[in-house]
Amino acid sequence: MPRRADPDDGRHGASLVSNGAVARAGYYRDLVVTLTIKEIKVRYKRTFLGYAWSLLNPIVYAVTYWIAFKAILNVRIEGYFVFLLCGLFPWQWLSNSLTSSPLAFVNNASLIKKISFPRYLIVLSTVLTEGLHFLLCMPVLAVIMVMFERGTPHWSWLVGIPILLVLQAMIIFGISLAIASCNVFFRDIERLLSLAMTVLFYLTPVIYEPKMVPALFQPIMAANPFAPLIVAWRTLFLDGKVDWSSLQVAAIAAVISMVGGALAFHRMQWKFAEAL
Amino acid sequence: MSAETAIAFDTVSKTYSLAWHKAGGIKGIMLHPREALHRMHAARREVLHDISFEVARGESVGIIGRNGVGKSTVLALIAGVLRPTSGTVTVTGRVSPLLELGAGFHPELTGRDNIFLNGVLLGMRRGEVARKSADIIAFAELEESIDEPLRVYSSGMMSRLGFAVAAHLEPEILLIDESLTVGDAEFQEKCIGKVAELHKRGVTTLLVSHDLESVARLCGRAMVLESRHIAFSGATAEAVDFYLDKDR
Repeated sequence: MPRRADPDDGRHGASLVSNGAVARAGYYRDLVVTLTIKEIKVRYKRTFLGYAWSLLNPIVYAVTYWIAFKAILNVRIEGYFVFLLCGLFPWQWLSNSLTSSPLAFVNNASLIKKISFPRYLIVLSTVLTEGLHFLLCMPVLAVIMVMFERGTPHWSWLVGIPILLVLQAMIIFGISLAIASCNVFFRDIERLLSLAMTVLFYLTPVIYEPKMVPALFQPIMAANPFAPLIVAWRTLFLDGKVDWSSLQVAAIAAVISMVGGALAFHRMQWKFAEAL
Repeated sequence: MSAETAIAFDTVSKTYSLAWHKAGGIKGIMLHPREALHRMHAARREVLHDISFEVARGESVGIIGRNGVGKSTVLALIAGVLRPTSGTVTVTGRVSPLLELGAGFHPELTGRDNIFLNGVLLGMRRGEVARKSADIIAFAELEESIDEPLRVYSSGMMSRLGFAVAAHLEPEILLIDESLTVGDAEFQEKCIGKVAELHKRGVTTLLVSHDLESVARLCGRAMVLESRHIAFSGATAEAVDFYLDKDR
């Protein structure tokens, strides 16, 4: 059956059409796995500490914030060190993915110009690589929680963690896809993003609790798609409770993000090979 | 279009927009929206105009022409990397784009890792690559250094690896963009032999090249591209004569 060439299919033509959508889904899975393995292998090439870096980063930040906000500014939050870590680990996933997203297509120009495959899988593999690191950090977080006697692993984690993983992956993927697509044409976004991430960090309740935010600034909190995620992760880790109301907000944010990202990508993807 | 057609171009035009290089980024658009938009619409360049041709399954066709007449654009349209501005491109069969050897190779990964990366990007399943990797390594003659990172390879070794992966794709349509000039003379001969062998097995082949000799050796038919359209299409020897005559 002849068909028009379409990079959405990755491969076009008879070989896959005959086997149908199952074969295509299998091929896409292989592609994501291969790209993710590549990212992981490349990431820690020639580093001495390797995977430990994704542990070390949030812990060093947590110690620093603890000194600044607990020891010096005397913030009134119980077990502040663990409190910080519960927000910083998911934040690291989010921030690392978004920060690397502008270059997802730009750095793979040679691929995009020469081979037809679903380009969004490049972005997806970055999000999944960072997600995998986050997952690998969780046991360490649990050990630290037990050590500091602030929260313990709980049965509710079995429900909460998968839901939150999916929602956070969707939110990051949608936004990353939009950023990666736009940055092909407007490289300003790259510069803008590092600034935006710093601002966003302080507007997201990682180092404070949402209830400490004055009424005037509550709307900002409500508009921030990352706020419900961080709050839900922390509630899950510290209190062993699934925070359904935050999850609802996060789910809405996830849908908006995915739709926005897909629209931006879809509109622009045919221009990638020409603009790069 | 018959069932035996592998590639069909139906009144295909391709216009490149030069907008992104002229709009001046976000600043330009924000400060002078009207000018920026105007420039974006004005900046277009037509590379192909109303091109129609068909390539039958198993045929071997060469595309020759001067630099910048749109040869590579034709291949990119077939590979599905670009979409025509108007008209339709119909492709039936698994395409192996040898537009650039070793696309996606990563210098820090070993040759073996890169075989997987490149093979899967080109359309193979992981199991398929695993089955063929021994053959690929043998074809590339890289048994010694396959577990070393790619950055220590010479450019010839890299091209050999790239060609070996692409050649083991079992494509139905093979697109070659001047990439047969790979490695030393001996390996070049091996590449041409491999392409000829694939062609004998019924693989449709499209070859874009300046090397008229390899076009003459490999292609039964050739098209001469000239200022946005096909100036000549016919037997390879005649096409070469036509091209050289025009070329003077």
